[in-house]
Amino acid sequence: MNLALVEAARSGDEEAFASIARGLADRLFVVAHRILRDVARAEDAVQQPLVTAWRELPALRETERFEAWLHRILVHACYAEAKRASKWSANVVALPIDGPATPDTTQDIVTRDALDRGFRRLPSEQRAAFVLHHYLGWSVAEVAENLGVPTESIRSRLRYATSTLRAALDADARTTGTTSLERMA
Amino acid sequence: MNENEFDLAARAWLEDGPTEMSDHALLSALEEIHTTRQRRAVWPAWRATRVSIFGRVAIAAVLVVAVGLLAGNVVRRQPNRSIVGGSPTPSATADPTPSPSPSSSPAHAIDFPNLTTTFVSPRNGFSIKHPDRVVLTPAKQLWGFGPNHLTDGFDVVETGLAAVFKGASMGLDDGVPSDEWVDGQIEDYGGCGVPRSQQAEITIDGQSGRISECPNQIEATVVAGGRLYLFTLLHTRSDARAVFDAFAATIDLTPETAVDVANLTTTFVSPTNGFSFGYLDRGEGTLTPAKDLWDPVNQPPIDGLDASGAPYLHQFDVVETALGAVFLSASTNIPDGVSIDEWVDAAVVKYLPGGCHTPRSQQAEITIDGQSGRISECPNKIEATVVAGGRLYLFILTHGRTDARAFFDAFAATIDLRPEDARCPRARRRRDRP
Repeated sequence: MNLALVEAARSGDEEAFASIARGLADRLFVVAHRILRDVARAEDAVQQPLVTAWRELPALRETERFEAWLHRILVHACYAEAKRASKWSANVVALPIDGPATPDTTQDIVTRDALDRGFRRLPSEQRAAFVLHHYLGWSVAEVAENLGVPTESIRSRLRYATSTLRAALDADARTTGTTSLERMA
Repeated sequence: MNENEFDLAARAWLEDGPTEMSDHALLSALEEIHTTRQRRAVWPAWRATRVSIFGRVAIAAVLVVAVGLLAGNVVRRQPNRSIVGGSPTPSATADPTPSPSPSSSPAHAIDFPNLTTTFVSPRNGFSIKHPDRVVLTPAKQLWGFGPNHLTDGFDVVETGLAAVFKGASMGLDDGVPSDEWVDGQIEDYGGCGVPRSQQAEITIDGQSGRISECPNQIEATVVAGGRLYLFTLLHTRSDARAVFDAFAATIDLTPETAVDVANLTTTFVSPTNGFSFGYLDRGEGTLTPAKDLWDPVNQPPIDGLDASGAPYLHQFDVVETALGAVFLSASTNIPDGVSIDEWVDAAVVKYLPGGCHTPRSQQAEITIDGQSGRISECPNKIEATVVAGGRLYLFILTHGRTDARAFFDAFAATIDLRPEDARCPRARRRRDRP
């Protein structure tokens, strides 16, 4: 992250902030998408944090923590988006498959399907912890610090998320992959 | 599937998916940014618009009542007023020299008592001399604040001689304000309506100011020591300007003695935190009660942001004073068997990453509602903790004021700790249990 750009944006330089936003938008979008599992909601979830970050940036005391701060705002936006989504999609069963189809093996598809279904059962706090830890590669301590949550809470969220996903995989393994494939067909 | 296999599968699954945000989504965000102003502080706005405008009708009504009383030469005794001196009979003659300003009427001897007794304003940072026998009503509130904001900020001298002299002042953020800004501040108070830039000059206590005259009213403004002063004479006298000048010549501006701490006249009883305190109710937006119980161990820190990007303050009863200070307060149960100082340092300091970070055992002492507590001060923040009835109470003042400690002490003096009234935490949900 270019700290000079952050400093300039903090001082009100809109073009500097636009440059930062262009550079980070895709990364933020990927994180939001992995948490929300929906392209449109992920895009919605990214837009508001960018605006919020611009508005609140002068109050950020440590500019070197800008990216972590922005991710924290993004994660909260994802929580809000997930909450909104849950109000109207509770009974929606169909799962959108985003992105280009890849030549995965049958077993890969079955595994992804199981993970997807397991993941959607997780509360958004557990989803966020799981994505930040397993996708961005943040340590438990980094996730805790950047989200402003106690380390033990993050550990606990990861433990629940992992056990839920493993249970989904185990359930699929017990009923063979055929069921999942049939469901996706 | 072992742990490594699971991690690999999970990572592959997470990496699979779209990696680029659409251009239109990014452009939409940038457009919104273009129309969004940056905020200058993390806390809610400190400087709210001053007061609502009641309109000229209210001003006129006040004026009519005041002048009506004066015309009848009636001096009413009220419980919160004091009669000073002897008879108000205009037997003596005031010597208005030296005239404090170029006046529209020549300085001359007027039929008015000598100004012999000094009144020192308890809040507004000035003193003035007045005749021996007058009715004095000292200011009860900051100028422009409170339910009676049109009157409570003024020191009022009712002479009983068809002339009421009033004075008020307010602290300024910095520098000398523009004439337009001053016009905006005093328009609620029935001014003559002449733009300040077009008003005549006057000198009060060596400071250059402006003065305007209109039927039954003379009004002068002057800036000194970072304060704006407003002096008004309501009258039904033909020699009103000479009377005003006589008063003005005795004014001693002492901005360093002004008190900018509000009189906290409204009591708030926290439905969550087990205490009450006084505050100055400015109407909607002044006070935001806590929504959640405070749990410093498990909740995000105070400078975290909630889903809307606002500071995460849901556990706090928050008072926005509109005076460059926000008062926040919360309380929580103290776990059994812990050392208070150590627990506060470990739990609360972590919860307040922007806090003062002085170990509690090294902090100064403060007494709140008879309970001994600790207080620390650092730039733009004062934090106090006190224990009562098995609860830890936290009181914070975030501010941009030089007199912040006096401001905090004013709040602290009104606090009534009621640990027995604090809301109890609900039992934890089953799925949260290990």
